[in-house]
Amino acid sequence: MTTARYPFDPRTLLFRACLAGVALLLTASLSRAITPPDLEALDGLRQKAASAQSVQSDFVQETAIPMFAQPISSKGRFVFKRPDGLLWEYTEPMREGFAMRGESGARWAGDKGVRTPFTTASDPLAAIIGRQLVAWIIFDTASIERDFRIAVTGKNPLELTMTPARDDMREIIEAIVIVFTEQGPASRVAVRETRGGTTTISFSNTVVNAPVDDAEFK
Amino acid sequence: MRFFSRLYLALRPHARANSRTNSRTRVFVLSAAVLGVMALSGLLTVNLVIREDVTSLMPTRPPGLAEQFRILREAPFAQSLFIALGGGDPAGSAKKVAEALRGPDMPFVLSGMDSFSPSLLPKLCAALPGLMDAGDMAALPPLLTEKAVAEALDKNRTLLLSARGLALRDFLAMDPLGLCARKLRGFASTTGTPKPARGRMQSVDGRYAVLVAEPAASMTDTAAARKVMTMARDAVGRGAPDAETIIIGGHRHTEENADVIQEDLRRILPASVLLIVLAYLVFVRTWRGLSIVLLPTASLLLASAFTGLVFDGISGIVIGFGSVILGITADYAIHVYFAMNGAESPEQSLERVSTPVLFGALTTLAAFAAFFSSSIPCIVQMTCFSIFGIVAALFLALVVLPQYLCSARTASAPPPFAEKWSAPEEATRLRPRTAVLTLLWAVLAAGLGGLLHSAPIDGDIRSLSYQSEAMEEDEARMRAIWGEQREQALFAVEETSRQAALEKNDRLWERFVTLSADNGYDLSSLTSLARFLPARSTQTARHAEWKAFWEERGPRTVAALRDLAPKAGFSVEAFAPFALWLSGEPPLVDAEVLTTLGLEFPLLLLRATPDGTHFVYGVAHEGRMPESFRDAIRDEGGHYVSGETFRAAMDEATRADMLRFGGLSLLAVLGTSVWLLRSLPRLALMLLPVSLGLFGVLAVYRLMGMSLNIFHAIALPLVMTLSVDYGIFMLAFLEGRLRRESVKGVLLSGLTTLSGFGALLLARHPALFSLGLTVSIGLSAALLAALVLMPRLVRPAHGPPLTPRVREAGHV
Repeated sequence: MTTARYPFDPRTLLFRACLAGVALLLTASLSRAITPPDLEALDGLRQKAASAQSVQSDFVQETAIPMFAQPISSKGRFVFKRPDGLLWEYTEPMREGFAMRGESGARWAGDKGVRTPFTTASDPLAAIIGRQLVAWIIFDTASIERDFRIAVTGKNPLELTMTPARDDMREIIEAIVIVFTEQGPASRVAVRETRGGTTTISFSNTVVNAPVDDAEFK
Repeated sequence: MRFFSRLYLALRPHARANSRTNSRTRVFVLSAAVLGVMALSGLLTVNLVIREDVTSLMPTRPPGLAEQFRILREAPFAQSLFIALGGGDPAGSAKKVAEALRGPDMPFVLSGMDSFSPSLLPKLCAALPGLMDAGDMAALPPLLTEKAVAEALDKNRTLLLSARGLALRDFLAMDPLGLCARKLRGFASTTGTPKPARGRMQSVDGRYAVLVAEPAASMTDTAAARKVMTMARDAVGRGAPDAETIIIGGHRHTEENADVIQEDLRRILPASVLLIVLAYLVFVRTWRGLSIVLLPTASLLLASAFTGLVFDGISGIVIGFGSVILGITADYAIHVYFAMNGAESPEQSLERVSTPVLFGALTTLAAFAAFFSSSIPCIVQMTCFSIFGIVAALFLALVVLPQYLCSARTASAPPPFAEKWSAPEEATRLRPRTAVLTLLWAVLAAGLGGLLHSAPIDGDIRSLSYQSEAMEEDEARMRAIWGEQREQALFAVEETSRQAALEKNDRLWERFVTLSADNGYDLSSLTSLARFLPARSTQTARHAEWKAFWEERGPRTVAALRDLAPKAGFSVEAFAPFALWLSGEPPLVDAEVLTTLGLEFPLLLLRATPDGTHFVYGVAHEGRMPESFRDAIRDEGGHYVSGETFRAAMDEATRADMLRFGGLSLLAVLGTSVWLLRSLPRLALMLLPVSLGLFGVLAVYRLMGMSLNIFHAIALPLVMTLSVDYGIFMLAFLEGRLRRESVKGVLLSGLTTLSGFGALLLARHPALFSLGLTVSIGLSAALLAALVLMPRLVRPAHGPPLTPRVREAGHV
């Protein structure tokens, strides 16, 4: 008899929920590293995205949802370096984040910022995020359009509205609106939630192809 | 034996009157009758249902082993197919293949949920009260203190602000204090399991997605297994034609075993016939001698047909064993042929040869009958097949064959039958070299005892069935994808209804919880359905506890939340769903609810058999469970099976079968031999081939470092059974009962038997190969002992050792 390990892990429900959120925010945030898209020239956009060897940006996130009495702001930064280095971190009001390169990385939470190592085997969430990131950096349109329908909803500045293509996404997200600057990178991403509320991420200090210390990802 | 010479004459009543015409008519009628029976047997054989599954190789005794095998056969995943899909979009491929697979023939296909709904987590929380055991309830109060509530709110705020919070709004509104999250964390299994991505179960590197499918057809049904595998390959071809695919499971195993057995049969049977024909061409080369070739084939047809009438389907291994029968059954024809090939009258020759032939057959049949004591269905079939074959061959050799061998000759009245095998005075014609014989037996007895006592036993079930390199590679790749699995153990309870089985399972789990508190055994290494699907009665009792708890603590807790929420930045109504949850009526969790929640996997632990037995299984991922846990399982009337216990039971069954078969076969051989000879020196001489055959096998196995498996339990007695004939015929020759030609007969019969077993060496199926190797070694040693050793251990009352040449010279 051939038996396989009993492959049920209830954490996966949480995991999928988390993944959906992370994927959406990464989608939104990384899009600013890409030249403003022209839906008729997605191949050109992919080529420009392919030229981005590294991306660094700060962000301010405003979460306005019914559960909060008032909108709450948070700040953070992200760093990406080809081929697979990633850092995603909130710095205010909480300190929390993770960094990874290849099959291993570290996560941290709290003011002390003590890093806890992990591998993709021990934290598959990180592995999934890494793959999502790569898909967006290289602008894998097949992968993106599997999850979202993209429409141009503004010309000046360029505004794209992405609506979820799948029911599970639609239960959470009504739409993601991305506004791009004239120079190229996205300046603002707004995630409109199906049950009310909006999470808006405004990017600043975006630097493309600047040197990135590999220590960021350890 | 006079009976056969009289029967011979009875079938040829006009022989004395030289009525050739009547004789030919009789022979024609006899031929027509024989051909008719053969044709009918052939028809029955063609329509035989051949089964190639491994279950027919499993012992049904001792009860412990049969019980473990029953539990393993019904176990979760035992009937499942596992399909791993690689390539650019494994999750998408998995979805398409799953859709292509689903249908009446494949009712259960699990590839993960089609989509994730955020509402699932609140639904899980709603079902939680029925899953909260005493330990869970005892852990609640510390979560309700003001400090704990404040900390939980801070944590929730952080979570909601993070990327992950987007999908957790409703969940955190309902479970701000982490009651449900704590329970879900407790559910978590160990690492190395497939993790869902985009709703599909994927490997950690994301390169493979896995599907689990449970076909309606049993994997033990060969034809159905082929159909299932075809269905799976078609589904992959349609759903993910370009994906890298690995399919493993019992159905593939059955298909491969069936294929290899059929391939083996295509090689073994022609090879066996070819070898017999070669022996015929070397030793016989007459038209009449063609009977030596034709007779075994006829016996095989008869044996197949009769065995098919007794059993509902025959194992392919038994048919493979038919090649062996070809060799054995040729023996009788060979001896009759050589006996009737001399100058004596046919009836005189027949009278002379029929006694050793009959005694040889009787000994073989008696020893074969011992195999009926086997608990292995395949061996019982083999025994039945062999006995039918031997009886048919005996009848054909002693009744039918003489009519053809002597049809052209004039018969004469038989001489008075004077020679009795048991007459002591006959033995006085031989003078055994007692000292050498005694020394030889002492060495053999000591050697056999030592070798049998220390023979290594292989109780691994995998060594009984065939596994191709491709399948081994696929299983290795599957292990590489999902991680090296530790050996698991299973535990199971059974009852006549699902709820009764679940109640028993709940009681067992409660005992596990108590025991783990005592001995520190980590319960997270166990997967029990009690954690996911308690019995209705258990859930009802837990609901009552839950409601009583929150009637007391609920108002205070809700008030504390309302008070502290604004301080943490939440709106006053942010956690209204929590209050509703506490005051609501908890739903009962059943299989349907679990399916709705996407928790189908635990349902695989529920099994039901057509006879109405309901099993609830559990898995111990660390393999061996503590003795106290195993005692608890036994106390609840449950079952515990691990690789270790199964191998131990197989070892025990193998040893027991060897002792039983060996003992009974030895008794049969000794009993018939003593009855026949009634003389210790003659007995010692006649049984030399038997003991040397056994010694040869065990010595070769020891030298080659090979282990004995359950198939050697039949192979070793077979060596005894077959080689005793050589001793009988050689003794008959050495005592002057048979002519010198009979030695040629012994050699030829040995070679034809060896051709049958030798052909088995071409088999790729381990069971057939193992049988062929063992018996070939044993019979070679026995044949050498009979032809070379026996004549040198006796001498006439006055004269040199009685070699065949000398014997012939002295033959009267």
